[in-house]
Amino acid sequence: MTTETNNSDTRVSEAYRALATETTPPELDDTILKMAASNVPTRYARVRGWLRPVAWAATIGLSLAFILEISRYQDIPVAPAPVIEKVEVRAISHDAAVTSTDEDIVSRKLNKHADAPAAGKALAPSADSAMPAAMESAVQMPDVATDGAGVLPETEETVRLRASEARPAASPAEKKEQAEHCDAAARATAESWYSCVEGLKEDGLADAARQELDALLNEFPDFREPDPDR
Amino acid sequence: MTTDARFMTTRSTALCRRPVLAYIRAMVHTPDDSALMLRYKDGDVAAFDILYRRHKDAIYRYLLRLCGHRDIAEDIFQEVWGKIVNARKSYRPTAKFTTFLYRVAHNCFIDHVRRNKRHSNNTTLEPEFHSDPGETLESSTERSLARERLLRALATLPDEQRDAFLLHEEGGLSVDEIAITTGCNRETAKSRLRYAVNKLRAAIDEPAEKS
Repeated sequence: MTTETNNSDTRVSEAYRALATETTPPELDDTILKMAASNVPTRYARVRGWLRPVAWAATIGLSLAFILEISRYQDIPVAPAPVIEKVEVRAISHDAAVTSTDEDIVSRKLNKHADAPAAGKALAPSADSAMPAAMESAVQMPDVATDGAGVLPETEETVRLRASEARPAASPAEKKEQAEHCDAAARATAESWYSCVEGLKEDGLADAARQELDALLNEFPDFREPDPDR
Repeated sequence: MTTDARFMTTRSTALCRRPVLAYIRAMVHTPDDSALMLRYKDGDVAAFDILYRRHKDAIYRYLLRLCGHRDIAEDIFQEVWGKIVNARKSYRPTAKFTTFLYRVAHNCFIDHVRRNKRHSNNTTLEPEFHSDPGETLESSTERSLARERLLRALATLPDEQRDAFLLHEEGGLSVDEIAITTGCNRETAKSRLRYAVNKLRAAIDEPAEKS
């Protein structure tokens, strides 16, 4: 301490202190104090520091809630009609050896019927108009679809009937063609025609049998239907 | 000593042993500057205001005498306090705050000199003289001449000697603290200070010897 006192002469110190009167400019003070104040985090800045994690947590929570809600709605059973439709489409496609789409199945059936002279025109008009009726008939025939060997003819018959029902404004010629379930050879005589009608009845086509029977009675008014009691 | 006082002493001693609560000890036992800096570290801007107003003029004059230019001194001054502000979070009261502050200032000045290799010490300062009301014109003139000679002698000192003298006069640092601040050993700091004071004393006494 003594050495330090010797080193710093008091006269020199006094002279220097008298000389050193400079002070900092006020604008420099303001600048530095503002800088110091801005460097300290305010309450809002501290809150803002928590904003990001809170926002992430809220986003994740809402997303989980949304997913859970969606999965709850998915648990509700759907209507049974589409399931039956799928089964039927699969059965038809298996028999017809076609691809899996419904439109292909119906269009192929329509094309097939269009080739046939009897029912072609009834189903021909357009694929767009005939498709819903054919689809509907295919859907509403579960016993036919699940049946093994005789699926295709019965399904065709059903398609034809449904198509005729779906088209009420058919022409008389078309009605006539639709009503002819027995061929010309069967219609040659009243007995053969009636046997054809009986065959239709045995096949379960009661409507067709009735139509054929009506046509038979119109064509052969003298024909008397045999008494079933005999 | 009452029972409460003894309890408090024991409790504070136990707290001070824990490294986590070291800053509580600093708040209690270290100089006020460190306590203010710790308060500022905790977000108390008013503490920094007090600290700044306590040291700003001395630091400013220290840099002004080292640089010799007001603009440069102001730039370095701002840089120094910017570093102090930025060092707020990592500040630990391991040493006297004044030593820390002047070490930062010294380093900023050295950086400035290194950035501007062609550092010239052309002093553009004009000292502000305030004559006392009862002082005669002759004595006032003599005093102003003495101050002018001192200022000129200070400007002609080698940088290291001027640095040591200013640290001692403006910062009130001891020889050991000057050595820490300037990064030299104690003897070197001591000799620099001694040479500086001798030269300045010679400059002051010069006209009296001539007369």
